[in-house]
This record gives sequence, C-alpha cells and structure tokens, in this order.
Amino acid sequence: MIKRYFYYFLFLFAWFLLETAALGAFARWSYVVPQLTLLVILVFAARHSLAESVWLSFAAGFMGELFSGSFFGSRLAAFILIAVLLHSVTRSLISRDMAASSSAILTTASTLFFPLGIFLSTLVFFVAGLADAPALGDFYSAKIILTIFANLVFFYPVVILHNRLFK
Amino acid sequence: MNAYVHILIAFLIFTALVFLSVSGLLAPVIDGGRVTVNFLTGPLVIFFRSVAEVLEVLGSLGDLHAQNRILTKQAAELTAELSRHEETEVENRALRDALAFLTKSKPGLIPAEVIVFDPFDADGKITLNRGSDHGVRAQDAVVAPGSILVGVITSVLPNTSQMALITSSDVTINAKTADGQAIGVARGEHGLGLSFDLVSHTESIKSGDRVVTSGLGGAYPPNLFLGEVGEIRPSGALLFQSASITPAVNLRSLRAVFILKK
Repeated sequence: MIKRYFYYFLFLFAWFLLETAALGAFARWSYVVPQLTLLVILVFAARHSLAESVWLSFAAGFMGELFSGSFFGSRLAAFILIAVLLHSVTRSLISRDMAASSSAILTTASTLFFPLGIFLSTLVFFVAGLADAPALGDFYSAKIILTIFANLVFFYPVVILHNRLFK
Repeated sequence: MNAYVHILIAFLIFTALVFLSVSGLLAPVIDGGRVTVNFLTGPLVIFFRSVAEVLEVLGSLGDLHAQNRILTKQAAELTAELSRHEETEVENRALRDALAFLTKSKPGLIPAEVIVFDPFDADGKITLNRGSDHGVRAQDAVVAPGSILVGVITSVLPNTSQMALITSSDVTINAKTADGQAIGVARGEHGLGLSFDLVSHTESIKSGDRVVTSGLGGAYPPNLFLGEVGEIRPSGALLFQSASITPAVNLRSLRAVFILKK
C-alpha cells in the first residue's frame, strides 16, 4: 500500500513540476497554463477510492502551498474539499467512465469551484482571526474561461497517462 | 480503515500544519520545498521560456517597425536627459563637498530571480530565490533594472522570500511627479493597476507625467520610478484629484529583480 501511494505521489509530483515550470515561464499568460495538479486530483477522485483521493489531494494542496500568496492551508483545504466533492459527484450524479461530456462538465466545474474553495477556506481563517478578509472578486476574472479551455485540452493527456501507469 | 477515518486523520494533520505554520515552525519545510522545486524545474523553465520567447517574437512581428521607431526616439531622448543628469550630479557633488554634507551611500542591492507567480493571488505575490540568509528583510523594496520600483518583500524565509507587486491592494507608496509639481499616494488596485491618489486640487498633474517615490515616511527610497500618469479621473466634489498610473514595466514579465537592503 505504501508503495502504491508512493507511485501516486510521484505521478502527482511530476505534473506539479510541469505546472510550476510553465507558470514560471508563461507568467504573463498564467491564465492559459493548465491546472495540472487539479486535473490529477479530478482523475483520482473519479477513478480511485475516497481515501486515496483525500491523501493525494492533501499532497497536492501541500505542494500548492509552497508558492501560495494566500494564508497557509487555504489551498490545502480547497484541494481536499474538491476531492471529496468530485468523489461523491462521480459516484452519485455523473459517470466515472471519463466520457467526453462528463469529463468536460467535471473539468469545468472543478476549475470554477477551485478559486471558490480557496476563497471559502481563507474566509474561515479570517473568521478565526488568522488571515485578512478575502474578496471574492480577487479570485475570479473573465480569463477563467481561458483556464477552463486549457484544462479541457490537457485533461485527456493526464487521463491517458494515468490509465497507462495505474490500470 | 473506513474512508471517513482517513478524512478525519487528514483534517487533524491539516489543523496541526496550520498551527505549525502560524508558529513559524513549518518555515524550514516550506523554504526547503521551494528550493527543491526551483532546482528541479530549472531545465523545464529554460525550455518553456525559449518557447515563450518564440511565441512573443511571432506575436510582435507586425509591430516591429513601429516599435523600432518609438524606441529609437526614446533612446535619443534618454541620452539627452542622461547628459543633463550627469551635469547635475557633478554640480550636486561639488555643492555637497563645499557644504561638507555626508555623502549619501548607495543602498546595497541583492540580485534575485523570480521563481514563480501565484496564479490564484490576484494581488500578485511572487516567490524569489533569495531570503534572510542573503540579507533580505521584510519590507525591503524590490526594483527592476533602471531603478523601477516593482514591489516590496512581504515574507522572508532563509533561502526564499515573497514579494507583493506595487499593484497589490496591500501596497501604498508616498509618491510625487518627477517635476515635483504634485505629491500624493500611489496605491495598488487589486493587482490590476496603480492609482495616484490624494493629490491636492492646487497641484498640477497631466497625462504622461513621470511618477516617482517621494521618500516621505522612509518606507521606500526616494526617486524610484513607478510609472507614468495615464488617465486623470474626474474628481467632481471630492477634496483630492486622482489619476491612474501605467506601471513602468510589465510586472508579469519580471525575471530578475534587485532587493534594496535598508
């Protein structure tokens, strides 16, 4: 089991490095850099158990906190929340088989919800007196449409590689 | 183990991590993680940057002729301005010597590279590859080549630090127009731009005026370039006038900066 989680982590870490490098190089167009770690969490939430999804999203959130400008924990909480929500949605509402339509819906919803998740967790920290008050407008702009498009384009390479390695 | 037990354990570890972070005990882990990721992404960043440069060149082909003409004109104007400044500097030095003023020492500069921008931080937090071990302190000013103020250090770890851009809503800078005609405050606007506020109606500002730091309050050294006045905003019955400032550099294209040691 430890070995399995180790390989999952390596898979996630590789995509995280790719995303971080792309953000470093394409900073002016950060809104078209795909959120590769989010896509990995999406695939795991749909295809793996809740426990595996939660721990992998924990790792993704912790890595996201390394370069985060928000209060520590907001990204971590958002990733775990997304993983739990995606897991339950793919068990009750939408098919797990990664058909084009369900994948598109899940990808779009995740991309739209992720900034909201960061906002909500920062809000909780604000109420607890630990962080400054967040403004929802700071997390959303019209350019999120381009981010959705980038995520949709890169979703299938993540799925294909995941299936090759872990099927 | 039941999945909900996993969630509970994850929540407990999460809570512990938040407390460790607030108490500063997580700093070495975060710092080490940043250094490691920066090292591992190095070759990838070089490759992606070359791709970005090719795309930029392709995108700007249509503007090359016009840009060349503008830049040639600007170079000529700057050369003339430089020679005027050189004369002024010589005169200034002579006067200081004559009056036996203490020579102003130039602030120390720490060169730093941008590791990454936080895409979810609309205010624009940037992680740099220099920290307290290199002499960086919180609230140090960060400049781009050409003495252009671009941000301020907000948090410092031993090997890395984070800075907020001047367009961040947390940043307020005492500023003036370069000709000294107007004094006010430059404020960041949620990462989208800069505004020049609290300018008295008796003072004159016009589009194109260069805005620099005034040095009042001591938070930022004086005469660091911020940008040029853009649109003058109608003030109506307000006590003060305000304007937008176009930053002197594209803050998202920063790669190498200098941290001014206080």
